[in-house]
Amino acid sequence: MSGRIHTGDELTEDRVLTCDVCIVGSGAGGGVLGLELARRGLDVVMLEEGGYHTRRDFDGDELRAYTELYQEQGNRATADLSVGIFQGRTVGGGTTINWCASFRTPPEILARWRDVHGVKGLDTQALTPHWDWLEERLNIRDWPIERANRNNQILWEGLGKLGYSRGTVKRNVKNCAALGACGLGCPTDAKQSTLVTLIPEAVTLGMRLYSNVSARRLEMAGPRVAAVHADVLDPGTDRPTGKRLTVKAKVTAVCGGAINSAALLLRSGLTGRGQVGKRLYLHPVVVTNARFPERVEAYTGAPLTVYSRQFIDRGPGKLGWLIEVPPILPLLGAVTLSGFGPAHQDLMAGLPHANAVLSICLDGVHGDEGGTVALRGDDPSRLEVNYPLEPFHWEGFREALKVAARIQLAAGAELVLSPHSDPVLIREESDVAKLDDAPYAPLECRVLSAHQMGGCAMGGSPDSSVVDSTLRYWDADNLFVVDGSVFPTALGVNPMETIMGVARWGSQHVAAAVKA
Amino acid sequence: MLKRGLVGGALLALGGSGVLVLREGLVLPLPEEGLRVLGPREYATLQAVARRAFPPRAGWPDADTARVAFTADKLLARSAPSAAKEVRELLGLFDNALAGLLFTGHVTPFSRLAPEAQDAVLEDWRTSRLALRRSGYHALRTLVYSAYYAHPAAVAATGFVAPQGFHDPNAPVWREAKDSARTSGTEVTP
Ligand SMILES: Cc1cc2nc3c(=O)[nH]c(=O)nc-3n(C[C@H](O)[C@H](O)[C@H](O)COP(=O)(O)OP(=O)(O)OC[C@H]3O[C@@H](n4cnc5c(N)ncnc54)[C@H](O)[C@@H]3O)c2cc1C
Ligand code: SF4
Repeated sequence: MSGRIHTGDELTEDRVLTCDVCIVGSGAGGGVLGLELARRGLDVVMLEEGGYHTRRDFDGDELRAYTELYQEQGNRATADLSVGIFQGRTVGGGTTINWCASFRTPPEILARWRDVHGVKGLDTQALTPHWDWLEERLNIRDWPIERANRNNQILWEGLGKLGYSRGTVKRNVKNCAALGACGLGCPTDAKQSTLVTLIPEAVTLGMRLYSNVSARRLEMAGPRVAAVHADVLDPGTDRPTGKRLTVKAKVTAVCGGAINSAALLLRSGLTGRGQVGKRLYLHPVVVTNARFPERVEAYTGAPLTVYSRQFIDRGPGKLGWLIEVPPILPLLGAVTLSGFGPAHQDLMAGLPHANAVLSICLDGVHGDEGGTVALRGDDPSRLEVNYPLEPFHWEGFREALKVAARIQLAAGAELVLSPHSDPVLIREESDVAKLDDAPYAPLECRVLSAHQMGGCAMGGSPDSSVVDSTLRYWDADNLFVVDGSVFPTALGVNPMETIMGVARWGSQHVAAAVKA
Repeated sequence: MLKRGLVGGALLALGGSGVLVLREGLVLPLPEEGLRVLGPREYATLQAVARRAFPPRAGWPDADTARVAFTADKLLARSAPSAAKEVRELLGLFDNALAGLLFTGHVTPFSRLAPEAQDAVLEDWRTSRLALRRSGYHALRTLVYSAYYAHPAAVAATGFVAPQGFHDPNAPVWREAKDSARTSGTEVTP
C-alpha cells in the first residue's frame, strides 16, 4: 500500500477503489480513526469533500478562509436563519480551523449517556488511556494565565471579581506564536490539528486520502454497505466535475461530522428507524460584546484560554452554560455584531477595544429534543437543519447574557452590547435588568453554534438511537459512525478531545468488523 | 444561505407579472470583470443596500470603493447554485414595487428610493412580524458585511493589524512519505 493525499484536480477519470475501510470525513473523528486503522495494517481510503489546504494557504484572509475552509462558506444556518452554524470543511475538518481548546469529557455526561441513553462500556476509565495518548501525541498542555491575551484576562478578572469558578484551558499546540489566527488555519503548523499530525502519519502508513471528493450515497446490499459513491469536486469552484469515485470497502465509517453524517445516511435511504437526523445538539451560543477603555486586541494572542463552568448546572429543567471568549477578527466581528449603517460602523471603529464573552449552552440534558437534519430537494450539497428555540432556551440565554454582562462590567467594560438585533446597551449594573425586557425570539436575538453534536445518536436500543455501543449502525453489519454525531447529548465543554477519544476507543470495533 | 422558508413562502408569490413589478430599479454600470451570478438589477439592488450599510465616513472605504456587490457575486458563485438562486429571488423581491406597496406603501423600487426611505425599508424588514422578512433582512445583511469586510481598506480602518512574517506562501506541501524529509513543520512518523 502506498499512501498519498490526492486532490480533485488529479482525478480526471472515474475510479473504483477497493480497500478494507472507507472513511468518509477527515476531521476529529475521521483523522483519529484513519491513523488507528492504518497502524493496525489495514488498507484505508479516506474521502474528504473539502480541499487539501495547508499552511501555504493560511494567509489570514478571512473571507478566503470562511469560503474555503467552512461548511457552506461559513453561511451554514438553521432553515429560519435563527442559528448561525460554523463547521469545518477541509482536510482536518474542524481541527484545522478550531480554537485549540482541549477538554476531557465531563464524567457526569458519560454517566448520563450510560444511565439515560443505555450506552455501554464508554466511561472515564475506558477513555482515559486514549486521552492520555492524545494529550501526548497532540502536545495538549495547559496555557497558563500569564500567557493569556487581554481578551481572556478580562474574562479571568471578571470571573474572579464576582467570585465565580475559573480555569485555564489546555491547548493542542507546539511552538504556538499566539497569532490569533486559529480560526483561519494556522500559518505556522503550531496547531496540532489532524491535518499536520495524525493524517500525515496515517498516510505514511499507507492511507490514501482523496480530498475534493464528496460521498453522496452508500449503496446497500442487504444489511451491508456494498459501495460508497462519491462525486469529485473542482477545487477551484467546488462544483462536481462529473467524475465519480466509487469505493468498495469491507467496512465503511461515516465521519462527516454532525449534520453531514446524518445527511449522508438519509441520502442513502438509511433512516435508522426514524432516528437519523434527530436529536441534533448545537451548544447554542449567545455573545455579549463589550467596549473597554484600554486596547484589548481580541484578534491577537491565543484565542481561547480561560473558561468557567460556574453556571453549567442550574438544576433540572434549566439550561446551563459554559463561559469562554472568542477571537474577534474584523469580518467575524462585523457579521456577528448587531446594528446597521453608522451605528455598526461606530462599533467596528472600536474593534481594538472590543471584548466578547461567549455563553455556550449545554443542550440535550434536560429532555430537550434538540434539532433535526433533513434533505432538501435533489441537490446533494444542500440540507435542512432545524433547531426549534423554545422558552426553555430563551430563559437560559437571557440569564446567561446577564451574567456575561456583569462579568464584563466587573472587569472594567464601559459599554456592553447584547446580541439583540436592536442591541441592549449596558453601562452599569442597573442597566443589566434591561435584558429582561429585550425581545427573545428567532432573529431578534442572535444565536450561534461552533459545536455540533448528535444526529446519529449512540444508545442502548435501535428504537431510540442510530448506532450501538460499538458505534455500529444498528441495522447494518459493516457500517459505523465515528464522529461528534454519535453523542446522545451535548457535553458542556468544547467537543474535539471527546470526539477524538471516542474515535480512538471505537477504532477497535471498526477494526474487528474488517475481520468479521 | 437562504433556506426554504423564505423562498417557499407566500412572499415570492408576489413576484408575478404586473405593472408595479416591472417598475425599473436602479441601473449601475456593471463591473468590468463581469458578473457570475447576479443579474444587473440584482447587482444594483445589493449595491444599494450596501450604500446604506456603509455610508461615506472619513478613513473608511465607501460601499462603491469596497465593491461590495461585486465581491458578493464572487461569493455567491461558490455557493450551491440553488442557494445563489434564492439570494437572487430575495433581491428581486426586495426591489419589487408591488411588494413595497403591500408592505410599506411605496411604489418605487427599493433601489430608487431616497436614502432615508431605504433606511426605513430596511428597518421595516428587520423588525417585521413576518419571520420570513426578518430572515431576508439578515441574509442580505450578512452578505454585504462579509463582502465589505473582505476589503483590505475596510479591515485596515478597523485598526486591525495582521501578524506579519508568519505566512509562507511557498511552504512545501506534503502529500506522501517520500516527501517528508522536505517538510520541517509537519509531524510525520516515518
Ligand atoms: C470556529 C470553530 C472553533 C472551534 N473551536 C473549538 C475548540 O477550541 N475546541 C474544541 O474542542 N472544539 C472546537 N470546535 C469544534 C470542533 O472543531 C468540532 O467539534 C470537531 O472538529 C468535530 O469533529 P467531527 O469529527 O465530528 O467533524 P469534523 O471535524 O467537522 O470533520 C468532518 C469532515 O467530514 C467532511 N465531510 C462531511 N461530509 C462529507 C461527505 N459526504 N463526503 C466527504 N467528506 C465529508 C467535512 O468536510 C469535514 O472536514 C470549533 C469549531 C469551529 C467551527
Ligand atoms: S494562535 Fe498559535 S495555533 Fe493559533 S494560529 Fe496562531 S500560531 Fe497557530
